[in-house]
Amino acid sequence: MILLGELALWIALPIGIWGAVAGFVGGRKGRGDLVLSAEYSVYAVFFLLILTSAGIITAFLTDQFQYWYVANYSNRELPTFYKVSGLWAGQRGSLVLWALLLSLFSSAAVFTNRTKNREFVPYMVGVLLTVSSFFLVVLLFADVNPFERLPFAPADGRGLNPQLQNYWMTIHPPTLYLGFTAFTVPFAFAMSALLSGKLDARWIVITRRWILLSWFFLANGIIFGMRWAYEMLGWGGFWFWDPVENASLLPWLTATAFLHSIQIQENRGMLKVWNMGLVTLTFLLTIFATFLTRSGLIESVHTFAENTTIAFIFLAFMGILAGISVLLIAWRYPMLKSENQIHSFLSRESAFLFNNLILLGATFTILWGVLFPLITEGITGQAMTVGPPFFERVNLPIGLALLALMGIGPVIAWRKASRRNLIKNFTTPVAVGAVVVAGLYLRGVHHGMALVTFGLSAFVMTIIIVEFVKGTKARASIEGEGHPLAFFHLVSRNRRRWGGYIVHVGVVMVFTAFAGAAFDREVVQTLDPGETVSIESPFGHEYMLTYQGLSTPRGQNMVRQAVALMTVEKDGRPIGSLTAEKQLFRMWEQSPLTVVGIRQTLMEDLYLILENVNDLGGAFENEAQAQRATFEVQVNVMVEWIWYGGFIVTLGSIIGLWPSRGSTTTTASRPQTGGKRPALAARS
Amino acid sequence: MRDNGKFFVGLGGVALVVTYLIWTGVSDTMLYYLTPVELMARVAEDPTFYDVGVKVSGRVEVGSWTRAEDELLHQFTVVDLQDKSVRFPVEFRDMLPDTFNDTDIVDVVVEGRFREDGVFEATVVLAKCGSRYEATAEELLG
Amino acid sequence: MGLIVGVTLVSAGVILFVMLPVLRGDWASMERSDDEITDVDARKQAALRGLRDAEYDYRSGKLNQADYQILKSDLARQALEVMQEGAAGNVANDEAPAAAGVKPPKGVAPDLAESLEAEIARVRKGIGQGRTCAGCGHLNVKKSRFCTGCGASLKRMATSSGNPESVR
Repeated sequence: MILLGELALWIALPIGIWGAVAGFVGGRKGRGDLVLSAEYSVYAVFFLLILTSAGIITAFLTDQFQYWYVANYSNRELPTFYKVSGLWAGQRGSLVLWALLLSLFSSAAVFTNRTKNREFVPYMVGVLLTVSSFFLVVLLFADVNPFERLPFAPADGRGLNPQLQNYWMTIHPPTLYLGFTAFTVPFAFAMSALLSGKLDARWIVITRRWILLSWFFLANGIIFGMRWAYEMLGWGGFWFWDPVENASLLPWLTATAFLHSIQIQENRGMLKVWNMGLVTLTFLLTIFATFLTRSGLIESVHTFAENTTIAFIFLAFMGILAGISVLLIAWRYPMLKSENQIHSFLSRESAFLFNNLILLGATFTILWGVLFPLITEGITGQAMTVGPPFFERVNLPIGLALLALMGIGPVIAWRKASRRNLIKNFTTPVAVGAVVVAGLYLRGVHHGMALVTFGLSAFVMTIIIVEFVKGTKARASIEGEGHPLAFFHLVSRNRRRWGGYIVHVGVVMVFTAFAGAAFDREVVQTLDPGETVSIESPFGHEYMLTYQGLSTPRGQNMVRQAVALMTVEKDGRPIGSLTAEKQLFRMWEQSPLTVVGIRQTLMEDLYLILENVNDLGGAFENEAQAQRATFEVQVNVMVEWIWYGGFIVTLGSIIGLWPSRGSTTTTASRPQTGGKRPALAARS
Repeated sequence: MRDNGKFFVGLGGVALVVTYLIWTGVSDTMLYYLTPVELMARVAEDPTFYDVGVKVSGRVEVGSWTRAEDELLHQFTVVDLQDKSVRFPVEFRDMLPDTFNDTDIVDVVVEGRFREDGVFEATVVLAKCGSRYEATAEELLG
Repeated sequence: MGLIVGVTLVSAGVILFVMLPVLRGDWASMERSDDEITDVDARKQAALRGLRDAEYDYRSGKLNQADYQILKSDLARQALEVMQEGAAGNVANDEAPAAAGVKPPKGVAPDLAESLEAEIARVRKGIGQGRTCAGCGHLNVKKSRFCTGCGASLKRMATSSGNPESVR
């Protein structure tokens, strides 16, 4: 099985190359047989990569430590779950995962278009397989083959980094990769439209859903990463502006911009060049993200070991793709002229344009910050860096502007808004925002930026709620329906718009949580059993934690654990207990893992960290006097709003993604030939 | 044309604001990114370099980590990756990352300022096990 | 041994699968199929969507009546243009010409098409039977009570002049 998987990788490359060539040539020459062969190649590559992945997973499950990759990321006692996820634990395997997911989406793209959008398919397949082939080339020739063998098999592997032995860390990379790889499809469609010259109103309609799908996975991937950081890293933070974190944010920002500017193209036939640029930029940023993680170019805790071969290969790939895209757009420029103009500054088109400019501004500043060491070193010879202070202070006004736009957008009409109506519609929301700000101020909240954020959040939420109410009433009066039915039909007949508003609600919640972080508290104390530590929350609650002592069980794959138990009282009433741990994993005894205890409520999290046990060895021997330990207790404000907000974003995205009848065909894609094969045609 | 003009005005406006934000952000928060060797050189030639915000990358000296009893204070020594004779002590009053230890080969990046008494006062410590991800064949086979 | 056989089988199978179309001369379609939307359909959907949005925007108070009427007649005209373009295109392609604005256009969900088609018809009829303001000469949509041009009461005009004026 393992050897089969290895061979599958070698077979996949020539087939990928064949398919890419066949797709391009078949499209150019009108040879339907080549095109069909290219489509089959897509499925074949997917099948082969499944074999490769199965081979790697089998190697892990059967403890085949003669494979360098398995020896590095597994050991005998590793739980099965992590042996399976060993596939993406390291650089090499994660490249296979990327290739696998890319081929999955390529197959989905081919399959869903086997009886429609046929004129786009040949070049689309060509582009998809070109990208796939690139990753296969990297896997096979850039010294990152996951099947590389050692001279002889070690008795046991090195084991998996304890920080990765965690549920969130396991699903975070695949979710992110789903988002990244899915962007290849809209890029392929866009290139296909450019190459074939079919730049009318259709390619946008087709592409839109794929972009939303990618955006959805990427948003979730980012949130899972934040969840992992919060629960596992043990510092109480969830975003560190680390270069690799930032790199995953960049395509998400440009994709968000695209989701908005695409509506302008659909409604008014404008911004065609802009949108082409955005699709290309978003895709290039996904490649950039994986390049950054692998090349070691920028110092980061996330990066794999530095590998200059890979760095150069990826740079060359990005450069070539960027160059070709620019040339194609320039070539087709006459066909991409706008059909209309913006009539009025006071219009939704205008607001969406601002949205785009601001999001791209954010993208640029973050990119600048990430590359700053390279830029400064290149120009002055001395590398300078910027960190969280830079990113926070630069993105704060941008975030506030976006928040404000989320309120303005729904209220302002297309083409030309009536000014007086606009002002009238803002009155209540602004009043609500002002009341919230005043109320909070009177309650002791004096943090300027947080107040502005809370006020704007209230403003936006009011507007969205009012939108739903007005929309329901409008529909009820036009269609003569009862209000509940009107509401249901309102949302289901215009999923994109109302799904989008729901997404905005989620985003507002996340922004609000960010503002809440300004009020976090923490206290550090060393305790013996029986002693207490207190902390007061910003909401006036007093938490008293009493240290009960340490127990020292042994979890799976661990040498030992130290579990500290605290009983908790809130405002004098016992509310339960919290544990915090240090875990010593096999093979990683030098780096004990800190596991925090969190008591989560909507408005505040009680966060307990076991910072240090004075005499860990003694504690493991269960010596009574070795229980002294240092703890850090935090109260983190409104963190749950991030997870709930993320859930609402997911809900809104699913609504937006849900297919409605009659969007691209008259009925649901009914295969005309009634078979699984693409629609066949008579040879002309 | 006039309407396109509005678009470019908007674009220019946003570009100006972004440039301003980046400019002030960078000048207020940027840090020198140095190796220990470079840090020592700078300090030698410019005494005011103490108290300048810097970020230094190096390696933790094996066996150099001590922790104060009952106080959140860590001390360890950072050694230059190239020139092992160049080193300096670090003080850190926060939680160290789990990947930090002084037995394995651990590469660190410390952020803070180099004090006149020759101790680096760190505000941020990032640690990456040098051999964390990729053990060589020799290391694997023991 | 079994491994070599397995590997050979898989390789051969995959290569055969991929080359099958070329060997057998199966061709995939590279043409748009008849029930897919065309560029005309997409633009028509956009115009009809714009009409619906305008209706909702007006009803929820984002547009005053004047802007609403202007926007509506603009969009209605655009939709009709597109549909006529589509009908002409259909004739050129030797298909049965669809009387513009009468049949629900292909590629649009029936009830959406119906309600919006009805809407366009209403607008056209409304304009057709509307009143010309005696004061400023502005042509108003049927059932308007006030002239959107000058604000004068149309009812009073109608009563005094007796009959609604016919449209130009």
